[in-house]
Amino acid sequence: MTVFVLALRVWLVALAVTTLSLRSAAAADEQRFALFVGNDLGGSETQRLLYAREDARRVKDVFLRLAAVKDSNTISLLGQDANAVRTALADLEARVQSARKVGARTALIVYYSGHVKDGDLRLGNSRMPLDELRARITKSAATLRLAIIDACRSGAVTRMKGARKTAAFAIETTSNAQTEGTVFLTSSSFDEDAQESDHLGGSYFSHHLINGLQGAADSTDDGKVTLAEAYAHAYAHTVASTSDSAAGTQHPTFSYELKGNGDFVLSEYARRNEGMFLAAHAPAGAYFLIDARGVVTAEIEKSPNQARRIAVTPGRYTVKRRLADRLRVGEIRIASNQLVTLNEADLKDAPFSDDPVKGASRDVDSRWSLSLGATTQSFFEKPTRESLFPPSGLLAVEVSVSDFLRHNWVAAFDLAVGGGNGAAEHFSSSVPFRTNQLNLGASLWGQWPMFDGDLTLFGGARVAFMFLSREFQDEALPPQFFSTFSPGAVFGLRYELARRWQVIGRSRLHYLLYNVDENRSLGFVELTAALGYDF
Amino acid sequence: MMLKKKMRSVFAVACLLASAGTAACGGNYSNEDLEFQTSIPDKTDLAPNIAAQLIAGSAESYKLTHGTVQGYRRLLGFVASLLDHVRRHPATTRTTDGRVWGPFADDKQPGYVLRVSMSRLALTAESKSFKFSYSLDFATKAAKAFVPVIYGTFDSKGGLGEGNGKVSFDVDRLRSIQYPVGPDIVEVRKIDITHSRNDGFRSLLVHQDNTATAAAPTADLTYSESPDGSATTRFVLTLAANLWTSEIDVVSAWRGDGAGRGEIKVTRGLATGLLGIDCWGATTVPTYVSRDWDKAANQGDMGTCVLPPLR
Repeated sequence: MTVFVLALRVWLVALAVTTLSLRSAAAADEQRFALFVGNDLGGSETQRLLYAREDARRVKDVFLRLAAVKDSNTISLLGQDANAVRTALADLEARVQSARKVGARTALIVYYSGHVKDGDLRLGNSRMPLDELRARITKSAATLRLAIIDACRSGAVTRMKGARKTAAFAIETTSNAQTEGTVFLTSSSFDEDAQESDHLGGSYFSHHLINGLQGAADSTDDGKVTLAEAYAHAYAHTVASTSDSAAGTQHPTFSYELKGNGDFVLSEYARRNEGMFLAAHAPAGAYFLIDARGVVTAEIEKSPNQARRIAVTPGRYTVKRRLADRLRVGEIRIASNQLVTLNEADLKDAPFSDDPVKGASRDVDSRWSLSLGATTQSFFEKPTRESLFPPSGLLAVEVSVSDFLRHNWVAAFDLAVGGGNGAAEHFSSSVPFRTNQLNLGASLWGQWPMFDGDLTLFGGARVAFMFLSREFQDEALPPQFFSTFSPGAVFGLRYELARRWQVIGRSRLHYLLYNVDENRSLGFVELTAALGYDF
Repeated sequence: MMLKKKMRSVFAVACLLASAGTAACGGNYSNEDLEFQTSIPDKTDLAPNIAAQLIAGSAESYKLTHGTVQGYRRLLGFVASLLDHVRRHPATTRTTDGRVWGPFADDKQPGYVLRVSMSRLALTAESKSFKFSYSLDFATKAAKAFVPVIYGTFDSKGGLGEGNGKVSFDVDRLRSIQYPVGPDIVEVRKIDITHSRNDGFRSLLVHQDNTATAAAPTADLTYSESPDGSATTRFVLTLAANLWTSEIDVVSAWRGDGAGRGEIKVTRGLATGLLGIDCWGATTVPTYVSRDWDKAANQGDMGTCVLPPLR
C-alpha cells in the first residue's frame, strides 16, 4: 500500500511538472549563471551540520560537468555569511543583465544547503530572510530562475536538517504554462526535517538530485535530464530513503511561476562521454558506485534489456549490486573522458557482511586550527617552585582539529619551549640556575559553543612529554635534566575575534611524578593566552 | 578517508614517540645530587694557586715556590680529576643518604674499572650540615674486586663547597692491583690532604709518603689563601749530595697583585740555621735580596718589602 501511494505521488508530481512544460531553450543557446552556497553553521539553537558545504561542492561539480554551467559564471560560497550571499547575487544579477542586453537567454540557478529557521536562511551567525531571497531571485532579469533550497539541521546517526516545524517556504502553484519564470525546489515540506546520511556523505535530497543529474533521472533515455525528471527522481528517492528513518519521511516540494512551454533541460549527461555504462544485456537491478571513502556517490536503477549510463566523475569505484541473498561487488576505474562498460564478469559474489559501504569520514567537516600563545607555568608546592622547578615562561604553538573524531570533539598537538630562573637551596646558601624546557603534548577535549558560537567553552584531557634542563651559574656544577610524561586536564574559553581568528584563554592542570631522588607527586598549572587561526 | 589515515599515522607516530619517551623518562635533575657533587673536592679545593707567571728574573725563592707549587698542582689536580667522575656523570644509584657513580671503564687504562660511592650523615638535628664520606675504588675488569684508592670525608658548613675535608690517595693500593703508575707518582706511596674552605678562606695541608727510592721519605706542603688573592705556602725541600745545605724550609707569601716575600731557611747541613730572604714586586723580580751564606748576593732595600717577616 505504501509503495503504491509513494509511486502514485511520484507519478502525480512528475506529471504535474511535465504538464507544466518547463521548457526552455537548449542549454547551448543560453548562458547559465549559478550561485552555490553551503554553510554548516546556523548560529544559536542549531547544531553544526556535517555535509552542507560538501553538498554545495558536489552540486556545483555536477552543474559544471553536466549542466552547461561555465565555471566563470559561478560563485561558490562555502561557510560564508548572508552579506556574501547578497553580494554574490548582486554580482550575478549584473552579469545576467549584461547578457540580456546582448540578447542572450539566461538562467539563474541558486543552490543553498544549510540551516533555515524561523523564515531565515541561517548562515553562521548571520541571517537572510527567505522572503528576501525569494524576492531577489524572482526579480532577477534572468529568463529562467531556479532556486534549490536544501535546508537542514543536524541529527544524530541520521541527522536531520532544516527548519523546525515552522511555516515552510512552500510556494503558490499558479502556473500559467508560459516559458519564462521562477521555480523553487525545496528538500522538505514545511513541517518536516531534512536529513543527512553518513552512507551518502551528504543530505538525501542533494545526493539524489546529483545522482539524477548524472543520468539516474533520465526516465526517457534521451541522454538528458529535465527539471521535471530531476525533481521527480529526487522526490521519489528522498521519500524512499527516509521512509524508515527515525526522523520521519521527508517530502521534497516544488513551486513555480512560469509562462511558456518546453522542457528545461538541466543536464545533458550523455554528451559527456564519461562515466559507467551498463549494456542492455547486463543484469537488471540497482547498481551503487562507492568511492574510496566508502560513500555511495551514485546509484542507478536498470531495467531488463535497458542500457543505462551514469556520468560520475573519473576515479576508482567499487560497484555493488544487491541481490536477495548476497551482493555482487567489483572494482571499476573511470579515466577522464572515458565511458567504461561494466562487465558482469568483473563482479564477484560477496556476503552482506562485506558491504563496501562504510559511510563518510568526518574529513569534510573537520576544521584545522593553529594557535600561538604565551604560557606561564607554576608548580603548586612552594619548596619545589622555589628551588627545583621555578616558574617558567613558554612560547606555545598548538595544532588542533575539530569535529574529526566526533562532533564538537577536538584533538590537538602542541609544542612549547621556554624556561625560567631559580636558585637551588644548598644547606644554608643557594645556587642560582637557569632552566630550559621543551614540552610536547597531545590533547582531546570537548567544546560547547555559546552566544551564537562567538564564545566556546572547552575542556578535556592532555598528556605531555616534558624535557627540563637546568644550568648553574657556577660552571663547575654539571647541567641537569629531567624528562617525564605528565597527564593533565585542559579547559578554557575561545572567543571568535573575527572570521577565522580567535582569542584563546587556556588553563592546564597537570600531575608530574618526580622520581630522581625519591618518588614525589607534584602538580603544576599552565595559563596560556593565545591567538588562533582556522585554516 | 585519506585525512583519517594521515591522522592515524600521526597518532601512531605519537604513540611511538611516547613509548620511546617512556624509556627516556628520568634524569639527574636533583638538588640532592648537587649536595653530593659539591661535597667532593675538585681541583679548586685541592690544588694550591700560584702568584704569577715565572719569568727569567724572578726571585730565587719565588722560583723554588713556583716549581714546587706547580708540581703539587699537577699531582693534586690528577687526584681531583679522578674524583670528577661524580660531576661528569649522573649518579648510577641513589639512596636516601648515598650515591654511587659507576662502575665506569677507566678511560686511561682499559683493563680497569672504577666507581665512586658516597654516603651522607647529618651532623645536626636540623640537617643543616652533613658529613660526607666517599671512596674512589679501582678494580681490574677481570676480578672486579674493588680497592679503595682515593677516599675521604667532608664536613659541609653551609656554602657551596664550604667545609673541612680530608682525602687520601693511596698509590700503594693502585700498585697492589698492578695498575700502571705514572711518572708523577712513581715515588709516591700515599698522599694525605687536609683541605678547608670557609667564607672565601682556603687552606691545604699535604703530607706525602714516598718510596725508598725517593730523595726524601716524606714531603709536606701547607698552603692558605684569602679572598683577596693573598696566599702563604710552606714546604721542605731535600737537596741531594750537598754538604752545606741538604734540606731547606721555604716559606713564601704574596698579595693579590703578586708582590710578596720568600724566606729560605737551611734546616739540614753545615749551614743549618742560615736564612735567605727575597722580596719581590708584582712581576716577581726581586726588590730586596738577603743571603746569610753569601753576603755578596745581597741587594736592594728592605723597605721595599711589601710583607713583614714570615717566621
